[in-house]
Amino acid sequence: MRTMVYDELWDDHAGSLREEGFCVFKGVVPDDASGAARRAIYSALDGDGLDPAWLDVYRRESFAPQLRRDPRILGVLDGFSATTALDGLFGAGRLRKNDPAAIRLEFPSLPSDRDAHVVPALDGWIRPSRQFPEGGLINHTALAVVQLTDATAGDDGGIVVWPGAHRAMISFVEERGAESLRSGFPNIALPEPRRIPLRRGDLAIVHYLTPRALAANRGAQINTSIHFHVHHVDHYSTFWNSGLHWSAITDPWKEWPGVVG
Amino acid sequence: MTSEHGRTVGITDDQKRRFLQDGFLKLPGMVDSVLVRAALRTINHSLGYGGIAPSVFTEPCPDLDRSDDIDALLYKSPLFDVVRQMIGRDVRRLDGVQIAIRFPRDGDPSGPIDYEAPVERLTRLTPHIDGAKRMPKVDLPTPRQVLVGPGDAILAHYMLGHGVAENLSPDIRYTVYFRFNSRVRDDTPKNVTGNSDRDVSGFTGLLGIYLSDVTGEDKGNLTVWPGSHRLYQRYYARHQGEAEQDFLYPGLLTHMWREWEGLSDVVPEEDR
Repeated sequence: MRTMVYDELWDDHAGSLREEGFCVFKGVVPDDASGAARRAIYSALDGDGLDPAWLDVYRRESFAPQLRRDPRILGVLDGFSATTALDGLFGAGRLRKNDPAAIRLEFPSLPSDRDAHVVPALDGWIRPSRQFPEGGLINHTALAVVQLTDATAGDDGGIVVWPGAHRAMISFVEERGAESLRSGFPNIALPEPRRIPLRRGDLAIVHYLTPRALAANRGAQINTSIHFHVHHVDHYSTFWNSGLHWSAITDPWKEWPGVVG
Repeated sequence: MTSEHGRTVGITDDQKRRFLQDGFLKLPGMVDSVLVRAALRTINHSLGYGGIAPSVFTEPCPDLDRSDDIDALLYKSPLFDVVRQMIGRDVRRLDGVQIAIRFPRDGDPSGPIDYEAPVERLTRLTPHIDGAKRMPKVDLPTPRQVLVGPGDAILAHYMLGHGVAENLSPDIRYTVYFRFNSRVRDDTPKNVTGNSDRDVSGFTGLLGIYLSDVTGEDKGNLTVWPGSHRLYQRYYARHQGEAEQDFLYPGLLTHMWREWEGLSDVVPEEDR
């Protein structure tokens, strides 16, 4: 399997990451693993319900928060093919283990709902507040999305990226410095956004500096996925005042030996 | 409301006899996939934006009692015509709709779900008649999980003993139920001797429309005891006091085909 990834697919994936800032490994999560995760998530909805007062929090952070470290959720990345893909990108065993995942349930909107404009963002911005007066940015190495339900039609929702915009972000950081990202999303020219169609069992990897958003789900099913903020083991926590580790931004491929190598 | 679809489905005498015998009829491919998709979207929207009560005893989606997308399953498919063919042209739909959602059953996080043999699980499942506070004690036939796909429907006699199988699949099972009364009830005096706390008015027929894949067992299937309606009929004929105590229309339990005008040609003389 590893040979197949390297020989037949690897150049495409590494090339896509370099050029577009993301790539998709198709069908690398086995059905039994994605099924166990769906069963755990949907069962939690039944047992614990969904309190309308908390829906915004669930959407922002994670549905079924009690499952964020559950082995059935974290285990979707443990299969041979997914491990091979991640090892190939970041180096064997070089990802920090057991970080909590975010369970994303995108419920359908109705035809009568207004079209929401997708707004590009990077993960981890902290709005200025009393606690963090200068705001902050918790960056990571990549976003890994494991798709648990088919979302291939154009209106099924899911992740949207601005392909190639990571290169504009890199140039911006080179010119203005990484600290400038604390001020919010930079004013840069962006290409047209593109939704990533994913099937159950697919794994999408998005470079941290690739702008992204979630599209509205106008399909019929609950678009269900697990998002991981993956950290290379050399990537320290980068809270605004905790010994900033900006090298992953100023040297954006430093944590990706499989892509630059 | 009149039917707005362009398809007609004629129920055959063979299907009617099967309904008499089994107490239910499977109606495959009744609802167009576009209608199924619209209804599913509406239900999932209601779950995601209206929330879900943390109790299996609370029906979800109370906001969908008057939903065009849900009503379309009945009126923009041949199904309302089918119900009229079976119960009668002046059949009346009961108010409201039941959005029946069966979430997967969870297992032990550290290991696989307890996959005991389906037959053992089914023997633990007991049938019910909707609303009945106590069930007649009769020797029941072997239960059967009904296999259906999206767009299929099941029409069942009110007296059929039924239940719901576990959902051991990874996915949510979605069914929409409509209930119907025949006009016979309008002319049938209510029994006023029963205990009002236990009065069950019941209804004539139940129509379940499936929006998800239930083509295998243990996916939250409707589980039926084929022929149990006739066993219950005989029981109530022998225990009329119990029927009068519990039901508002006890006579319709013992003359169970009186409300099914469309079956009059195939109902045996002794059952009329």
